[in-house]
Amino acid sequence: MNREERLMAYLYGEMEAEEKIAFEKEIEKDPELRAELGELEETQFFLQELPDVQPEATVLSLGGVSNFNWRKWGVRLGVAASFLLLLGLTNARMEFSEGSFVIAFGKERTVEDPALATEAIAQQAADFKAALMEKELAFNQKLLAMDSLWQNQLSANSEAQQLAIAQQWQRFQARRQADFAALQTQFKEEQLPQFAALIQNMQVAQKQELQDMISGLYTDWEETRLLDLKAIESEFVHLYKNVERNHTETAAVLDDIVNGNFLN
Amino acid sequence: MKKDSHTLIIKAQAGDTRAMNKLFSVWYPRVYNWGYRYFGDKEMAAEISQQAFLLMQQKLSQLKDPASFKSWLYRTVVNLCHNETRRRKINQKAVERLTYRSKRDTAPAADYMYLRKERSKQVLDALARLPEEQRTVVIMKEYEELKFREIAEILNISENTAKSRLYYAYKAMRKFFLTQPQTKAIRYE
Repeated sequence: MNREERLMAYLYGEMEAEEKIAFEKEIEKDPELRAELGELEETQFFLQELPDVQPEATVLSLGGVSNFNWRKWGVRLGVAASFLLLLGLTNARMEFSEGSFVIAFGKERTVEDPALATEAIAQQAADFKAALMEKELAFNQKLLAMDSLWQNQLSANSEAQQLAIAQQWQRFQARRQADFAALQTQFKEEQLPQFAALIQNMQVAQKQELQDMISGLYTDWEETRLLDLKAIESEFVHLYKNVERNHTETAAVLDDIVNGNFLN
Repeated sequence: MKKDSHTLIIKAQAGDTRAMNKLFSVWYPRVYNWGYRYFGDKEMAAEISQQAFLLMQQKLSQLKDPASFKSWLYRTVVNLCHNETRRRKINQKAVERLTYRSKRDTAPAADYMYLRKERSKQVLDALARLPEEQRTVVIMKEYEELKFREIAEILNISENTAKSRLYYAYKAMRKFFLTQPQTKAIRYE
Protein backbone atom coordinates (compact mmCIF):
# COMPACT_ATOMS: atom_id res chain seq x y z
CA MET A 1 0.00 0.00 0.00
CA ASN A 2 1.27 3.46 -0.76
CA ARG A 3 0.89 6.46 1.52
CA GLU A 4 -2.60 7.46 0.26
CA GLU A 5 -3.97 3.96 0.49
CA ARG A 6 -2.60 3.50 3.98
CA LEU A 7 -4.12 6.80 5.09
CA MET A 8 -7.58 5.75 3.85
CA ALA A 9 -7.29 2.29 5.39
CA TYR A 10 -6.31 3.88 8.72
CA LEU A 11 -9.08 6.49 8.51
CA TYR A 12 -11.71 3.78 8.16
CA GLY A 13 -10.14 1.39 10.67
CA GLU A 14 -9.40 -1.22 8.04
CA MET A 15 -5.78 -1.88 8.91
CA GLU A 16 -4.23 -4.97 10.46
CA ALA A 17 -3.21 -4.50 14.11
CA GLU A 18 0.54 -4.62 13.50
CA GLU A 19 0.38 -2.34 10.51
CA LYS A 20 -1.78 0.07 12.49
CA ILE A 21 0.76 0.29 15.33
CA ALA A 22 3.58 0.92 12.86
CA PHE A 23 1.53 3.56 11.03
CA GLU A 24 0.62 5.33 14.29
CA LYS A 25 4.32 5.54 15.13
CA GLU A 26 4.93 7.05 11.71
CA ILE A 27 2.14 9.58 12.30
CA GLU A 28 3.69 10.55 15.60
CA LYS A 29 7.02 11.26 13.97
CA ASP A 30 5.81 12.87 10.77
CA PRO A 31 3.95 16.20 11.22
CA GLU A 32 3.04 16.33 7.52
CA LEU A 33 1.39 12.93 7.67
CA ARG A 34 -0.41 14.01 10.82
CA ALA A 35 -1.68 17.15 9.16
CA GLU A 36 -2.85 15.21 6.12
CA LEU A 37 -4.76 12.75 8.29
CA GLY A 38 -6.37 15.69 10.08
CA GLU A 39 -7.50 17.14 6.75
CA LEU A 40 -8.99 13.83 5.67
CA GLU A 41 -10.83 13.52 8.98
CA GLU A 42 -12.17 17.03 8.53
CA THR A 43 -13.44 16.22 5.04
CA GLN A 44 -15.04 13.06 6.37
CA PHE A 45 -16.73 15.18 9.02
CA PHE A 46 -18.08 17.56 6.34
CA LEU A 47 -19.58 14.65 4.45
CA GLN A 48 -21.69 13.81 7.50
CA GLU A 49 -23.45 17.13 6.93
CA LEU A 50 -25.50 15.42 4.23
CA PRO A 51 -28.00 13.35 6.18
CA ASP A 52 -30.32 10.71 4.74
CA VAL A 53 -33.46 12.06 3.11
CA GLN A 54 -36.88 10.47 3.27
CA PRO A 55 -37.92 9.09 -0.11
CA GLU A 56 -40.93 10.82 -1.52
CA ALA A 57 -44.09 8.78 -2.15
CA THR A 58 -43.52 6.24 -4.86
CA VAL A 59 -45.95 4.94 -7.44
CA LEU A 60 -44.06 1.71 -7.83
CA SER A 61 -45.96 -1.39 -6.83
CA LEU A 62 -44.36 -4.77 -6.63
CA GLY A 63 -47.53 -6.77 -7.27
CA GLY A 64 -48.92 -7.16 -3.74
CA VAL A 65 -52.09 -5.26 -4.56
CA SER A 66 -52.89 -7.28 -7.68
CA ASN A 67 -54.14 -10.16 -5.51
CA PHE A 68 -57.09 -8.07 -4.40
CA ASN A 69 -60.31 -9.54 -5.85
CA TRP A 70 -62.47 -6.52 -6.70
CA ARG A 71 -65.29 -8.66 -8.09
CA LYS A 72 -65.64 -10.81 -4.97
CA TRP A 73 -65.49 -7.80 -2.60
CA GLY A 74 -67.93 -5.85 -4.80
CA VAL A 75 -70.55 -8.59 -4.41
CA ARG A 76 -69.98 -8.74 -0.64
CA LEU A 77 -70.31 -4.96 -0.25
CA GLY A 78 -73.49 -4.99 -2.36
CA VAL A 79 -75.10 -7.63 -0.11
CA ALA A 80 -74.13 -5.70 3.03
CA ALA A 81 -75.54 -2.43 1.64
CA SER A 82 -78.86 -4.08 0.72
CA PHE A 83 -79.19 -5.55 4.21
CA LEU A 84 -78.57 -2.17 5.86
CA LEU A 85 -81.14 -0.56 3.57
CA LEU A 86 -83.68 -3.22 4.52
CA LEU A 87 -83.09 -2.61 8.24
CA GLY A 88 -83.61 1.12 7.75
CA LEU A 89 -86.83 0.75 5.79
CA THR A 90 -88.46 -1.66 8.22
CA ASN A 91 -87.71 0.39 11.38
CA ALA A 92 -85.57 -2.50 12.63
CA ARG A 93 -83.95 -2.42 16.10
CA MET A 94 -82.08 -4.68 18.51
CA GLU A 95 -84.06 -6.01 21.47
CA PHE A 96 -83.14 -8.23 24.40
CA SER A 97 -85.70 -10.92 24.66
CA GLU A 98 -85.69 -14.20 26.68
CA GLY A 99 -81.97 -14.23 27.25
CA SER A 100 -80.76 -13.28 23.75
CA PHE A 101 -80.60 -10.34 21.36
CA VAL A 102 -83.06 -10.37 18.50
CA ILE A 103 -83.73 -8.04 15.62
CA ALA A 104 -87.30 -6.72 15.84
CA PHE A 105 -89.25 -4.91 13.15
CA GLY A 106 -92.10 -2.38 13.29
CA LYS A 107 -93.14 -0.21 16.23
CA GLU A 108 -91.93 -0.90 19.78
CA ARG A 109 -94.31 -2.67 22.24
CA THR A 110 -95.98 -0.48 24.94
CA VAL A 111 -97.66 -1.34 28.33
CA GLU A 112 -101.37 -1.32 27.68
CA ASP A 113 -102.82 -1.30 31.35
CA PRO A 114 -102.40 2.22 32.94
CA ALA A 115 -102.89 0.92 36.53
CA LEU A 116 -100.18 -1.68 36.06
CA ALA A 117 -97.96 0.97 34.59
CA THR A 118 -98.43 3.32 37.60
CA GLU A 119 -97.76 0.51 40.04
CA ALA A 120 -94.67 -0.53 38.16
CA ILE A 121 -93.39 3.05 38.09
CA ALA A 122 -94.04 3.47 41.86
CA GLN A 123 -92.25 0.20 42.56
CA GLN A 124 -89.29 1.31 40.40
CA ALA A 125 -89.17 4.66 42.22
CA ALA A 126 -89.22 2.98 45.65
CA ASP A 127 -86.50 0.54 44.60
CA PHE A 128 -84.43 3.37 43.25
CA LYS A 129 -84.85 5.41 46.46
CA ALA A 130 -83.93 2.44 48.68
CA ALA A 131 -80.86 1.73 46.59
CA LEU A 132 -79.90 5.37 46.73
CA MET A 133 -80.21 5.51 50.55
CA GLU A 134 -78.19 2.36 50.87
CA LYS A 135 -75.46 3.81 48.71
CA GLU A 136 -75.53 7.10 50.65
CA LEU A 137 -75.16 5.26 53.96
CA ALA A 138 -72.27 3.23 52.65
CA PHE A 139 -70.71 6.36 51.28
CA ASN A 140 -71.04 8.19 54.63
CA GLN A 141 -69.50 5.29 56.48
CA LYS A 142 -66.65 5.21 54.04
CA LEU A 143 -66.23 8.95 54.43
CA LEU A 144 -66.09 8.69 58.23
CA ALA A 145 -63.59 5.87 58.04
CA MET A 146 -61.48 7.85 55.63
CA ASP A 147 -61.68 10.94 57.82
CA SER A 148 -60.50 9.02 60.86
CA LEU A 149 -57.76 7.39 58.83
CA TRP A 150 -56.75 10.76 57.48
CA GLN A 151 -56.70 12.30 60.98
CA ASN A 152 -54.51 9.49 62.27
CA GLN A 153 -52.30 9.78 59.27
CA LEU A 154 -52.12 13.53 59.71
CA SER A 155 -51.07 13.36 63.33
CA ALA A 156 -48.62 10.57 62.53
CA ASN A 157 -47.35 12.60 59.65
CA SER A 158 -47.08 15.65 61.82
CA GLU A 159 -45.08 13.80 64.46
CA ALA A 160 -42.92 12.18 61.84
CA GLN A 161 -42.45 15.48 60.15
CA GLN A 162 -41.43 17.23 63.40
CA LEU A 163 -39.05 14.42 64.16
CA ALA A 164 -37.64 14.60 60.67
CA ILE A 165 -37.21 18.36 60.95
CA ALA A 166 -35.47 18.00 64.32
CA GLN A 167 -33.20 15.30 62.95
CA GLN A 168 -32.52 17.36 59.86
CA TRP A 169 -31.70 20.36 62.05
CA GLN A 170 -29.33 18.28 64.18
CA ARG A 171 -27.70 16.92 61.06
CA PHE A 172 -27.43 20.42 59.67
CA GLN A 173 -25.86 21.69 62.91
CA ALA A 174 -23.42 18.82 63.03
CA ARG A 175 -22.53 19.30 59.40
CA ARG A 176 -22.09 23.02 59.89
CA GLN A 177 -19.75 22.44 62.85
CA ALA A 178 -17.82 19.85 60.88
CA ASP A 179 -17.61 22.17 57.91
CA PHE A 180 -16.47 25.00 60.13
CA ALA A 181 -13.81 22.83 61.76
CA ALA A 182 -12.69 21.63 58.35
CA LEU A 183 -12.60 25.19 57.13
CA GLN A 184 -10.50 26.26 60.09
CA THR A 185 -8.04 23.44 59.50
CA GLN A 186 -7.96 24.17 55.83
CA PHE A 187 -7.50 27.84 56.55
CA LYS A 188 -4.63 27.12 58.88
CA GLU A 189 -2.99 24.71 56.50
CA GLU A 190 -3.47 26.55 53.29
CA GLN A 191 -3.91 30.19 54.11
CA LEU A 192 -1.30 30.82 56.77
CA PRO A 193 1.72 30.67 54.48
CA GLN A 194 -0.15 32.92 52.14
CA PHE A 195 -0.90 35.31 54.97
CA ALA A 196 2.72 35.27 56.05
CA ALA A 197 3.72 36.12 52.55
CA LEU A 198 1.05 38.80 52.47
CA ILE A 199 2.26 40.34 55.70
CA GLN A 200 5.81 40.22 54.47
CA ASN A 201 4.73 41.87 51.26
CA MET A 202 2.83 44.46 53.22
CA GLN A 203 5.89 45.17 55.34
CA VAL A 204 7.98 45.54 52.23
CA ALA A 205 5.37 47.82 50.77
CA GLN A 206 5.14 49.89 53.95
CA LYS A 207 8.91 50.16 54.17
CA GLN A 208 8.99 51.30 50.60
CA GLU A 209 6.23 53.78 51.35
CA LEU A 210 8.13 55.12 54.33
CA GLN A 211 11.26 55.44 52.28
CA ASP A 212 9.31 57.24 49.59
CA MET A 213 7.85 59.53 52.21
CA ILE A 214 11.25 60.31 53.73
CA SER A 215 12.72 60.85 50.34
CA GLY A 216 9.78 63.16 49.51
CA LEU A 217 10.28 65.08 52.73
CA TYR A 218 13.96 65.40 52.04
CA THR A 219 13.25 66.68 48.56
CA ASP A 220 10.73 69.14 49.97
CA TRP A 221 13.22 70.23 52.60
CA GLU A 222 15.89 70.66 49.95
CA GLU A 223 13.56 72.75 47.87
CA THR A 224 12.54 74.84 50.89
CA ARG A 225 16.20 75.32 51.90
CA LEU A 226 17.04 76.48 48.40
CA LEU A 227 14.12 78.89 48.44
CA ASP A 228 15.21 80.14 51.86
CA LEU A 229 18.76 80.60 50.64
CA LYS A 230 17.50 82.54 47.68
CA ALA A 231 15.34 84.69 49.95
CA ILE A 232 18.30 85.31 52.27
CA GLU A 233 20.49 86.11 49.32
CA SER A 234 17.96 88.49 47.93
CA GLU A 235 17.61 90.08 51.40
CA PHE A 236 21.35 90.46 51.58
CA VAL A 237 21.45 92.06 48.13
CA HIS A 238 18.70 94.42 49.18
CA LEU A 239 20.46 95.22 52.47
CA TYR A 240 23.76 95.72 50.72
CA LYS A 241 22.12 98.05 48.24
CA ASN A 242 20.59 100.02 51.10
CA VAL A 243 23.92 100.18 52.90
CA GLU A 244 25.64 101.27 49.70
CA ARG A 245 23.03 103.90 49.06
CA ASN A 246 23.32 105.17 52.62
CA HIS A 247 27.05 105.16 52.26
CA THR A 248 26.85 107.18 49.00
CA GLU A 249 24.42 109.60 50.53
CA THR A 250 26.59 109.97 53.65
CA ALA A 251 29.67 110.55 51.48
CA ALA A 252 27.81 113.19 49.49
CA VAL A 253 26.77 114.94 52.69
CA LEU A 254 30.35 114.78 53.97
CA ASP A 255 31.63 116.20 50.66
CA ASP A 256 29.16 119.02 50.92
CA ILE A 257 30.34 119.72 54.47
CA VAL A 258 33.99 119.58 53.44
CA ASN A 259 33.51 121.81 50.45
CA GLY A 260 31.47 124.29 52.42
CA ASN A 261 28.46 123.71 50.28
CA PHE A 262 26.54 122.88 53.37
CA LEU A 263 27.03 126.38 54.72
CA ASN A 264 25.72 127.95 51.58
CA MET B 1 -26.05 -11.39 5.55
CA LYS B 2 -28.52 -12.17 8.31
CA LYS B 3 -30.51 -15.38 8.21
CA ASP B 4 -33.91 -13.64 8.04
CA SER B 5 -32.76 -11.51 5.08
CA HIS B 6 -31.57 -14.71 3.43
CA THR B 7 -34.98 -16.33 3.92
CA LEU B 8 -36.71 -13.20 2.67
CA ILE B 9 -34.70 -13.25 -0.56
CA ILE B 10 -35.41 -16.93 -1.14
CA LYS B 11 -39.13 -16.30 -0.61
CA ALA B 12 -39.07 -13.31 -2.94
CA GLN B 13 -37.27 -15.37 -5.56
CA ALA B 14 -40.03 -17.94 -5.27
CA GLY B 15 -42.57 -15.23 -6.13
CA ASP B 16 -43.80 -14.34 -2.64
CA THR B 17 -45.12 -10.79 -3.11
CA ARG B 18 -45.09 -10.04 0.61
CA ALA B 19 -41.40 -10.94 0.79
CA MET B 20 -40.75 -8.84 -2.31
CA ASN B 21 -42.57 -5.88 -0.74
CA LYS B 22 -40.60 -6.33 2.48
CA LEU B 23 -37.32 -6.27 0.51
CA PHE B 24 -38.56 -3.17 -1.23
CA SER B 25 -39.38 -1.36 2.04
CA VAL B 26 -35.97 -2.25 3.52
CA TRP B 27 -33.82 -1.33 0.53
CA TYR B 28 -35.77 1.42 -1.20
CA PRO B 29 -34.69 4.26 1.19
CA ARG B 30 -31.03 3.25 0.83
CA VAL B 31 -31.10 3.14 -2.94
CA TYR B 32 -33.06 6.40 -2.98
CA ASN B 33 -30.40 8.11 -0.86
CA TRP B 34 -27.70 6.70 -3.07
CA GLY B 35 -29.42 8.27 -6.09
CA TYR B 36 -29.91 11.55 -4.24
CA ARG B 37 -26.23 11.77 -3.35
CA TYR B 38 -25.14 10.71 -6.77
CA PHE B 39 -27.31 13.11 -8.78
CA GLY B 40 -28.05 15.75 -6.13
CA ASP B 41 -31.67 15.60 -7.22
CA LYS B 42 -34.72 13.98 -5.63
CA GLU B 43 -36.50 13.28 -8.91
CA MET B 44 -33.50 11.44 -10.23
CA ALA B 45 -33.19 9.60 -6.92
CA ALA B 46 -36.78 8.38 -7.27
CA GLU B 47 -36.25 7.42 -10.90
CA ILE B 48 -33.08 5.44 -10.21
CA SER B 49 -34.59 3.65 -7.22
CA GLN B 50 -37.70 2.73 -9.19
CA GLN B 51 -35.64 1.43 -12.08
CA ALA B 52 -33.52 -0.54 -9.64
CA PHE B 53 -36.53 -2.17 -8.06
CA LEU B 54 -38.21 -2.96 -11.35
CA LEU B 55 -35.00 -4.70 -12.36
CA MET B 56 -34.91 -6.42 -9.02
CA GLN B 57 -38.45 -7.72 -9.53
CA GLN B 58 -37.61 -9.01 -13.00
CA LYS B 59 -34.17 -10.48 -12.34
CA LEU B 60 -34.17 -11.57 -8.72
CA SER B 61 -35.12 -15.11 -9.63
CA GLN B 62 -31.89 -15.36 -11.69
CA LEU B 63 -29.70 -14.60 -8.66
CA LYS B 64 -27.95 -17.89 -7.86
CA ASP B 65 -26.62 -17.11 -4.40
CA PRO B 66 -29.02 -15.18 -2.13
CA ALA B 67 -26.06 -14.21 0.10
CA SER B 68 -24.74 -12.03 -2.71
CA PHE B 69 -27.98 -10.03 -2.92
CA LYS B 70 -26.45 -6.87 -1.38
CA SER B 71 -23.53 -6.79 -3.83
CA TRP B 72 -25.88 -7.62 -6.68
CA LEU B 73 -28.24 -4.78 -5.83
CA TYR B 74 -25.39 -2.29 -5.37
CA ARG B 75 -23.88 -3.36 -8.68
CA THR B 76 -27.27 -2.81 -10.32
CA VAL B 77 -27.49 0.67 -8.82
CA VAL B 78 -23.93 1.56 -9.86
CA ASN B 79 -24.70 0.48 -13.45
CA LEU B 80 -28.00 2.36 -13.50
CA CYS B 81 -26.35 5.55 -12.26
CA HIS B 82 -23.55 5.15 -14.77
CA ASN B 83 -25.94 4.56 -17.68
CA GLU B 84 -28.19 7.40 -16.62
CA THR B 85 -25.23 9.78 -16.47
CA ARG B 86 -24.13 8.77 -19.93
CA ARG B 87 -27.59 8.98 -21.41
CA ARG B 88 -28.54 12.35 -20.08
CA LYS B 89 -25.09 13.87 -19.62
CA ILE B 90 -26.53 14.90 -16.33
CA ASN B 91 -23.27 15.41 -14.52
CA GLN B 92 -22.63 18.83 -15.98
CA LYS B 93 -26.27 19.81 -15.69
CA ALA B 94 -26.33 18.84 -12.05
CA VAL B 95 -23.29 21.01 -11.39
CA GLU B 96 -24.90 23.90 -13.23
CA ARG B 97 -28.17 23.48 -11.42
CA LEU B 98 -26.52 23.22 -8.04
CA THR B 99 -24.25 26.17 -8.77
CA TYR B 100 -27.22 28.22 -9.82
CA ARG B 101 -29.07 27.22 -6.70
CA SER B 102 -26.11 28.12 -4.51
CA LYS B 103 -25.81 31.53 -6.12
CA ARG B 104 -29.52 32.16 -5.86
CA ASP B 105 -29.72 31.17 -2.20
CA THR B 106 -26.90 33.29 -0.84
CA ALA B 107 -29.10 35.55 1.29
CA PRO B 108 -27.25 35.71 4.60
CA ALA B 109 -29.06 34.25 7.57
CA ALA B 110 -27.21 33.08 10.62
CA ASP B 111 -29.78 30.64 11.87
CA TYR B 112 -28.98 27.01 12.47
CA MET B 113 -31.40 25.55 9.93
CA TYR B 114 -30.00 27.77 7.23
CA LEU B 115 -26.47 26.60 8.02
CA ARG B 116 -27.52 22.96 7.99
CA LYS B 117 -29.19 23.40 4.64
CA GLU B 118 -26.17 25.21 3.24
CA ARG B 119 -23.86 22.47 4.41
CA SER B 120 -25.99 19.77 2.81
CA LYS B 121 -25.97 21.75 -0.43
CA GLN B 122 -22.22 22.15 -0.27
CA VAL B 123 -21.74 18.41 0.15
CA LEU B 124 -24.06 17.75 -2.80
CA ASP B 125 -22.14 20.34 -4.83
CA ALA B 126 -18.84 18.72 -3.93
CA LEU B 127 -20.14 15.24 -4.83
CA ALA B 128 -21.55 16.46 -8.14
CA ARG B 129 -18.14 17.86 -9.10
CA LEU B 130 -16.34 14.56 -8.60
CA PRO B 131 -15.64 12.19 -11.46
CA GLU B 132 -18.19 9.38 -11.52
CA GLU B 133 -15.89 6.64 -10.27
CA GLN B 134 -14.76 8.70 -7.29
CA ARG B 135 -18.32 9.76 -6.44
CA THR B 136 -19.46 6.14 -6.48
CA VAL B 137 -16.71 5.12 -4.05
CA VAL B 138 -17.51 8.02 -1.70
CA ILE B 139 -21.19 7.01 -1.56
CA MET B 140 -20.34 3.36 -1.04
CA LYS B 141 -17.78 4.01 1.67
CA GLU B 142 -19.07 7.01 3.57
CA TYR B 143 -22.81 6.58 3.26
CA GLU B 144 -23.34 2.87 2.62
CA GLU B 145 -20.48 2.00 4.99
CA LEU B 146 -19.18 -0.83 2.84
CA LYS B 147 -15.74 -2.32 3.44
CA PHE B 148 -13.05 -1.59 0.85
CA ARG B 149 -13.14 -5.30 0.09
CA GLU B 150 -16.87 -5.13 -0.74
CA ILE B 151 -16.44 -1.99 -2.85
CA ALA B 152 -13.63 -3.66 -4.77
CA GLU B 153 -15.78 -6.72 -5.38
CA ILE B 154 -18.83 -4.77 -6.56
CA LEU B 155 -16.87 -2.44 -8.84
CA ASN B 156 -14.50 -5.14 -9.99
CA ILE B 157 -11.41 -3.15 -9.00
CA SER B 158 -8.63 -3.74 -6.46
CA GLU B 159 -8.99 -2.66 -2.83
CA ASN B 160 -6.09 -0.27 -3.25
CA THR B 161 -7.75 1.37 -6.24
CA ALA B 162 -10.85 1.88 -4.13
CA LYS B 163 -8.74 3.51 -1.38
CA SER B 164 -6.90 5.62 -3.88
CA ARG B 165 -10.12 6.83 -5.54
CA LEU B 166 -11.52 7.75 -2.15
CA TYR B 167 -8.31 9.59 -1.21
CA TYR B 168 -8.36 11.73 -4.36
CA ALA B 169 -12.08 12.34 -3.97
CA TYR B 170 -11.47 13.64 -0.43
CA LYS B 171 -8.65 15.86 -1.61
CA ALA B 172 -10.83 17.37 -4.33
CA MET B 173 -13.78 17.86 -1.99
CA ARG B 174 -11.61 19.51 0.64
CA LYS B 175 -10.32 21.92 -1.97
CA PHE B 176 -13.90 22.74 -2.91
CA PHE B 177 -15.07 23.11 0.71
CA LEU B 178 -12.29 25.59 1.44
CA THR B 179 -13.58 27.88 -1.30
CA GLN B 180 -17.04 27.94 0.28
CA PRO B 181 -18.09 30.86 2.49
CA GLN B 182 -19.80 28.62 5.03
CA THR B 183 -16.80 26.35 5.54
CA LYS B 184 -15.31 28.56 8.19
CA ALA B 185 -18.53 28.45 10.15
CA ILE B 186 -18.60 24.68 9.84
CA ARG B 187 -15.00 24.24 10.89
CA TYR B 188 -14.94 26.49 13.88
CA GLU B 189 -18.42 26.38 15.30
